Amino acid sequence: MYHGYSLKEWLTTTNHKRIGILYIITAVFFLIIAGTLGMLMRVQLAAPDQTFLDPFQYDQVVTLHGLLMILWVLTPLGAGLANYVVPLQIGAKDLAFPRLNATSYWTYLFSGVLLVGTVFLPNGGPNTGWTLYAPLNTIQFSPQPGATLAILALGLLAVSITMASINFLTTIVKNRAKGMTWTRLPIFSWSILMTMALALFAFPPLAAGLALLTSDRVLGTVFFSSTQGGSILWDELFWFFGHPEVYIVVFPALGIIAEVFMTFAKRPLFQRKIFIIEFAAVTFLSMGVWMHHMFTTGVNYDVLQAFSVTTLAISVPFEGLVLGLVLTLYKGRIRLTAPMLFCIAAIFTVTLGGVTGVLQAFPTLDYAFRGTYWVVGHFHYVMAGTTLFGLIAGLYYWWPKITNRKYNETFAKITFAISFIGFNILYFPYFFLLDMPRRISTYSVLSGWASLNFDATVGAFVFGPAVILTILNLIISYRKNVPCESNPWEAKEMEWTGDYSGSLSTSQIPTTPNSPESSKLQEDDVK
Amino acid sequence: MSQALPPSAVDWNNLFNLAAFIAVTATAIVVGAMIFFAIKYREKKGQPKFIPEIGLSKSRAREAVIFATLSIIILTSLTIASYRLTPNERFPPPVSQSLVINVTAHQWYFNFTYPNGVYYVGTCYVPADKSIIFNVTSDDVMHDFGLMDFRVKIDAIPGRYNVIGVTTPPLDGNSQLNYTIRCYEMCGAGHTFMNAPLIVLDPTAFNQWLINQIAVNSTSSAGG
Repeated sequence: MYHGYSLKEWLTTTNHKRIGILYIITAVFFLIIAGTLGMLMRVQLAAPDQTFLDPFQYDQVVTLHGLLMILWVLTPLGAGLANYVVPLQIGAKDLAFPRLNATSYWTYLFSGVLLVGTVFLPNGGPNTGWTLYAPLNTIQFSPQPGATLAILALGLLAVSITMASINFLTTIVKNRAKGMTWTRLPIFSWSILMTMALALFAFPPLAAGLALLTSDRVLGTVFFSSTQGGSILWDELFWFFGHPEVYIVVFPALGIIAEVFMTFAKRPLFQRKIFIIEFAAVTFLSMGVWMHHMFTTGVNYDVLQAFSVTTLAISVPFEGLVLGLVLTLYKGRIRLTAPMLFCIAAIFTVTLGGVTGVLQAFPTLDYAFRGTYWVVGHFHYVMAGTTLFGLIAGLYYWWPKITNRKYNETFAKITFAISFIGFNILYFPYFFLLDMPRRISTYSVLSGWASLNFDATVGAFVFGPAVILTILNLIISYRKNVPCESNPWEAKEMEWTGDYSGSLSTSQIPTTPNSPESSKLQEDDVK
Repeated sequence: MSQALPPSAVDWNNLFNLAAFIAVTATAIVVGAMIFFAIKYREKKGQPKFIPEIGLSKSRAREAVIFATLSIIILTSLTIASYRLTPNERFPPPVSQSLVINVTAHQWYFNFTYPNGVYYVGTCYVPADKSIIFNVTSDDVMHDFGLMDFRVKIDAIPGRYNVIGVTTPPLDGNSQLNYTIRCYEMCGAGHTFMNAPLIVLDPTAFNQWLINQIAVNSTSSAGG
């Protein structure tokens, strides 16, 4: 009796909607764990010379917070919404390979539980930071078995995401309904297409690096412990994955912002074709910027300068994307609903996170930024700001579709205000902690970092609970059991309007078996 | 105690201020426009029924080209400015005019070796108003030799010598200048405490210190 389905049906489902829901629930579960870890760090750093966590515990908390947030929360939360929405948007029966989809999900769940579990092993889990730099990641410097198991967990996640990317690419390319041309393809589906294309190329280098690292740790090879370039080899493999991963994380959020802006401004996307071309340009260029993470490794300076130029080049189409979204609001009829507010906040954070990123693209400037809280501020503005706000907007926006319920709008607006204020109190001080090294477990009172760190901790205690309130709002609205109308936003994309049995209000796309009624949780749907 | 900013920090600050000014202006324009649109075009009660535009927007490339050109011009000029600044740090003056110090990072301290073979653990003494070349490597894991007061940083990587040069400022009446070298790469449980003071001395005082150290090193190695 779980929303009309038996437990067995949930465990064995291959339906894209139910797997999407499983993805969302699991990602929110990991969000709460990783968020709690973040709060532990802020408690530790609230005042100088604290001993709430010892350095080894703190290192594990840092590592797990980073890995979980990026790979087990933000990426799968986007994938969960995509699972639910993309087939509906493009008029497909289901994903192209439903069983592969279920395999992706269960592999993801298992890998996440495995990673969190490593902490409870004797000597703890990985303690190297999420970048797992060599040779700190080798058996000589982190001998605990938990660190080896964490590599297995990461490898399983790479497998899971690669399977999902093949599935989504095939679905979007081959399973679109008749009449759903590339020009008509909704922007969220475009963003998922780009995300998955990027994932297909980004995760194999990670898998290769992890395989070599496992070989080092288990078989005694010396790929990464070698002084003949072992460290640099890991840097290259990791960031060849790591930089595209940043875009994998942020693209679904951009797609959601576009959908939400179009719906609540009642406007088509500003210069849609150019928007898609810019999107593709960002996708392509993001494969060629990874060495901007290596400006201080002492690699040939002209090579680094070339990567500085590619990084600056990517900012041009990206700026086009942001401007396209902002100009979509021009002369619209704007309703400031909760998803709309979260998306406006996400544009603010992506702009600030983006321009601070551009400053880091100049090697000379980056010598100072590298490894400091400035960088932490920059990527939290992009990830915790743009991506998380965008995904929360997506949850609110598609909540009536997924559950047939409307969340409480006033409550949602209040939690929005709290989270936005808390977010900025938490992360804005980081831009002024320019000389504070990342991943230090405490600092002395002489450093002068105490007051800004205290501000950040106060912000964390505002932002964290606000995210919990957002989740509560969604859960409460579901339990209240007051059905809402099928298209409460008057949105125009297929997932809302695709009344396949009758008239189509805004498009000429023909009917498919994936009827909108089946999207309600209570109803049975396609096998 | 007022310490003069090292020359590399002054250059860095100038470039940063320029770039940050452009960045803040760009953010203000984008976010300002968004908030303006969101307020100006918000739906009001009693407005006549709005028939939203259906279908796809027309593509007019002009705006996109204007914005792209503008940002390319800005970014190119900043790149040139950044590149002109670089030689001070990455391509320091010739070795003959500089003091070369070999830095070896360990878990969790820095070891400094001077041209005459003197080595010193945990603190770096240098003469004032002089070009210093740090030749940085690591003995175990990857560290980062960061001298934030000079706005420079270089990774300490096992098996690799990375070079970074700075010019120390004149003393300007102070008896010595104090800066801090910190490790900026996660290197294990002692990462938090991996600091080393950088102490700038008057050249004669520095030479005296160096001579004293020859004696200290020889007794300690003879004893050991």
